[in-house]
Amino acid sequence: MILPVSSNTNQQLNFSADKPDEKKYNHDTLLRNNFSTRLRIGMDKFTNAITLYPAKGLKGNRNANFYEFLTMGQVPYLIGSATLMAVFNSAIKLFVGPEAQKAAKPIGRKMALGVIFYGLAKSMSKSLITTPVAWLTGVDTNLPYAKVNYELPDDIYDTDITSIEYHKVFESVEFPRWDLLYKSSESKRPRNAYYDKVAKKLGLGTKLKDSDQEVKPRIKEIVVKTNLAQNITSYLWAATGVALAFQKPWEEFFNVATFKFWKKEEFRKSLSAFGRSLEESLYQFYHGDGSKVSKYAGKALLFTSLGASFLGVANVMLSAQKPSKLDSADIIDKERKYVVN
Amino acid sequence: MRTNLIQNFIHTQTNPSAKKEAPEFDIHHELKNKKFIKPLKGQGRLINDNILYTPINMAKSISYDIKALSSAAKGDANDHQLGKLNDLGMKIGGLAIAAYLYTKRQTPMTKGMEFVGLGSFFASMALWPKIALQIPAQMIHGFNVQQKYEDSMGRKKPFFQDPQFLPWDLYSDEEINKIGDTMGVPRNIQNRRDFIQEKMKKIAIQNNTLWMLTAGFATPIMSALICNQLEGPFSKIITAIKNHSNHKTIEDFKLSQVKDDSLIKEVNELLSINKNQPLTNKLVEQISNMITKDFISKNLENAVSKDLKNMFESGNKVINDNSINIIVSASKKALEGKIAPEIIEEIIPTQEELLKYFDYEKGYYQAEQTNITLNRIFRDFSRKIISNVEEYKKAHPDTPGLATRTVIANLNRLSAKNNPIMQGLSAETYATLNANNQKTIKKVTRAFNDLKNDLTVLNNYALEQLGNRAETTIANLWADTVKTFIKEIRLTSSQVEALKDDRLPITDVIRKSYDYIASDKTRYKKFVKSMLKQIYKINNTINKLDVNDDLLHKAEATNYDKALDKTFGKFVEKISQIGGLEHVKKELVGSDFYYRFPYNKNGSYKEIYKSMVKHRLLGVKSSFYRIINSIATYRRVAVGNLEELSGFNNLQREIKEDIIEMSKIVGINAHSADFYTKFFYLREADIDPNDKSNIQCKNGKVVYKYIKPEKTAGKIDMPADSTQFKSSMELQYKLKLLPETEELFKPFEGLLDEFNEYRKVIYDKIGDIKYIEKVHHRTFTEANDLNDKVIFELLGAATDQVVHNYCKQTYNTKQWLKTFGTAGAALLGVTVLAQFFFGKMKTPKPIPQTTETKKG
Repeated sequence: MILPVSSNTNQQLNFSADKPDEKKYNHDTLLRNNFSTRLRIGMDKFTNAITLYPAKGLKGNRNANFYEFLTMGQVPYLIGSATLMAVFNSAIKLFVGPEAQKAAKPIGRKMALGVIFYGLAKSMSKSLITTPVAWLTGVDTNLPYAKVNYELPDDIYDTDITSIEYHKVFESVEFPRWDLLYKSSESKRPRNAYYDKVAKKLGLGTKLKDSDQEVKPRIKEIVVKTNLAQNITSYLWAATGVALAFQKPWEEFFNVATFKFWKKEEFRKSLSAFGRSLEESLYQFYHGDGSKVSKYAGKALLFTSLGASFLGVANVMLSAQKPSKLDSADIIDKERKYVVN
Repeated sequence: MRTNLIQNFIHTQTNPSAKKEAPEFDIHHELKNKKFIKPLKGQGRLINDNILYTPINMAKSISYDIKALSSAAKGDANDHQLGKLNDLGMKIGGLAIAAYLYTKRQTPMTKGMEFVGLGSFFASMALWPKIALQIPAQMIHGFNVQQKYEDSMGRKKPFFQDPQFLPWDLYSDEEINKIGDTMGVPRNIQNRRDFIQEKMKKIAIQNNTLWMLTAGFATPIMSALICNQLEGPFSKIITAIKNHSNHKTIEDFKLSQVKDDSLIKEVNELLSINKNQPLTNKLVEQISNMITKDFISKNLENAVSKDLKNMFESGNKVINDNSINIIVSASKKALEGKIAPEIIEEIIPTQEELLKYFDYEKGYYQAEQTNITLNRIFRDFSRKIISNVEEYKKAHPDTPGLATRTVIANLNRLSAKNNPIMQGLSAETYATLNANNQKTIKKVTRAFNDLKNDLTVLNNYALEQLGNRAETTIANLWADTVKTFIKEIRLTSSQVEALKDDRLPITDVIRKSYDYIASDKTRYKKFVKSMLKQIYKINNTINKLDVNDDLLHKAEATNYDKALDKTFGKFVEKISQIGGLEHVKKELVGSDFYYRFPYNKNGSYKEIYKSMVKHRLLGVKSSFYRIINSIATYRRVAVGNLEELSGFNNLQREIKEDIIEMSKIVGINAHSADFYTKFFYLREADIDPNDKSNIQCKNGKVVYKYIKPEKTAGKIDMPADSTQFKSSMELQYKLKLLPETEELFKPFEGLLDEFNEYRKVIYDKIGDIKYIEKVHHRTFTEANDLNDKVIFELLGAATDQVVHNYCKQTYNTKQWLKTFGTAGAALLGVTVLAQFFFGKMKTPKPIPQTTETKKG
């Protein structure tokens, strides 16, 4: 970790170029995991990913780091989705003959819808794992915090040497930010309040002397298993989304689809066609389109996704319920070599 | 700050075991010299494996993923393993998408392409940074920006992934200096290694950013382009596999390969719902429809209906819609001439009235009728007529001579056989779906179910080999041959674009190309050989023993025909045992008379199966033989070998020119549906009768004196003059092939015979002047035994239409390629170019040289 260049971090002295009244973190701060925080973090990451980070990266800025690289990972996802849609749609109007256009159009539109459903299903399905896990164990694996990063000044005039990064407490299973979960003395709550709550949820009892030591290995296990379940199931749900987009009834929607919301009547028709097509597509996805294989294919995909999500959560709970009382000596395995990254 | 686990570890050791220490690490020595305590020596290494290690690395990677999965499932995985599992999830999801879409696709090719698409997407993700970033950067800056390393724990990571943590110790001084030399970093600067590292880091950050910015555009485009390029070879492989397996299936055809009893189940369900119900027409039709639903033949459905009705155990009489119709119409007929028609209409109850009456008599309607109930209904009906008569009399008291009561009474007294009411009442007998009748239906269903199953195998064969759909063996052969043709006539991309919208100018383009090819022996030989090679491929790919066109290539019954005989033979055997299915038998295999002469084309279901594949094959071959025949005609004209054409020398020059030009054009654009319309004259009505000079050729091309080939309007017609058509057809199809043309057939065994047969059949069938059947000026009353289908199969597709279709399809593909190929190329160019501007840093000043160094 790069430490502050001076000990002024807790004082009023502000190196930032931001306006004085703007809220700014001066130390790593745990945040609430609610819609507004998620939206704010999402917007912050998105705007940085398309503006600040590419500008820093293309200049080869010495402060560019792995967080920025990962955040920029959104860019190929978004551009890739748009390009994928374009690959199948933009050339259609150039085709010769109405037959060729007529044949290519529904395929292109289904591809585009598939891309959208892929993204939606992938991101939304994650909560199918994290929500029940948080509810059953008290461990919110998506708990965010703002990290204050101290950078090297670009030049002698660069006074803004901090940057804020949004991470998750359990982002790294090897080095979770346990420290952020301890309550401060100002909060007037027991130092181990968070760990007490998790211990209670996990059935380890209340008023434990060292609840943090008790639950840390359990939390780690929960986080690993939750991540595994999320990683596998989100792609299965994404596949289910694509499969749904490839049903024939969508063609009715494609014929009247419009995003021109200012043309009220057309937009209303488009929305109602969407609803109808969605309903019929769900039916066709589940029951098939008449062919023998399709009768089972949709069900197979849907139940695989559902089953995997259920198994994922069940696997997490399996560890949450096992007896505890680990010997503190076992936390460090003497037989192993450790390397600090 | 984090706890330094290593220090903890060292301090907590009381009795360290020498055996477990890392090599070259003496703990006692380190403890005595505490100020030198340092972490264990790294075991990491840069990965510079060559391509030969790829399979080993892949195996290692799979094993790592499995281990990671197992550890994560137990809750004991590290960050690196979890990251790997995300990639695994992406692959599983990708496979799930491909597998689902596989089920939505119809043909093996499109099914397979789903997986090719998935593979190409992952390949593009991996290839783009290599092609657009790694290789150019290596060439420009001298090091691998996508360098990977293996850490002490055996985990593989990108070296430049995190610019704030770069394990530089893995690069030796020698390696770094070499990179510095490539970058042009002066040798005599302070901290040279640090400077080079900073420069490498900067370049890597810039490259990683560029990767993130371009991958989104590049991956889908690259993936689509890869798929586009792989489609052809993949299709060839799939076709070859399918062709081989189809050949095996038909060569060794076995009955009962498909076991599917769904039809039996469906019919049984219908029977159980209607158990012991009257077998009304509607129900019998429903059953027949269900039994024959896979055969899509209304005639067959009717035949089953008819036969089943005869086979059912007949029951008693029934009153239904039909019998009511008969009662009304027969009663009216019986009174005709005896009573005025308008009175008949008034006194005979309408169908609606009767329906109401029988509805009221619910217990009797559509149910078994005894003689007692019949008599009662008869009585009621007669009374109704009489009361109608009375009412009519009251309403029309002045109508004279209404002796209706007597007439009606006489009518009622007629014997049951002649009585119109009784005729109607006893017209419909009914059978119930009792155990015996169910048994009959089940037997028939079983026979049809088995037939359907056996035909499924043959259907697949016919469809996959010669069916009218994409990616059949014949469709692929067609596409290949057309491609060869297009290449040989040297159609350019700009021509493809120009011709995509209009078929008319294509004739001229092909004509010019043919003229160019036919005017030179070498070009002519090359063209004919290429085309013959393709046609020969058709003959060899679709095994002649399995199926043939039966016209150009005659043979004993093919494997496909034998399989059909076997299938239908078995069916006939089964239905003969059941008995009573004569109409069905006639529909499916022809009547007994025809069945004994299997070569007779009797229009049965079996014969349609047989003829479909033959005609498809013939149509394709004719289309390509037509090209050979056309170019051979051009060649004959080019070499001036026309004296064999009967009476040609005595014709006027203008007529000669007309014949030549007409033959050249119709070979290209004559369509089966408008063949004769092409034979309008190009010459003028008044010609010079004395100019009988010969056709002149210059450099193998005809120099016309009178005819203007580009003339499109003002064509004339002389219906009584058949010279032009006759001579043109003779020139094209009757004259013996030139020896040089025959010579070209030599490498292709059997093709010359087929081609000669093709020419002979065409000449015999449509070369005759009787063929010209212009409705208003037919010169012969006799007409050829031809129909449009035969003409179509003989002429094949018009060459200009073949080219037009090619232009349309190719333009669409090219348009797509042009749009995204250009975008892809531009992106690649910009990405590569950008790297020349990466890594710019101010180079430190060189160390001033001391006197000693100068001397040294």
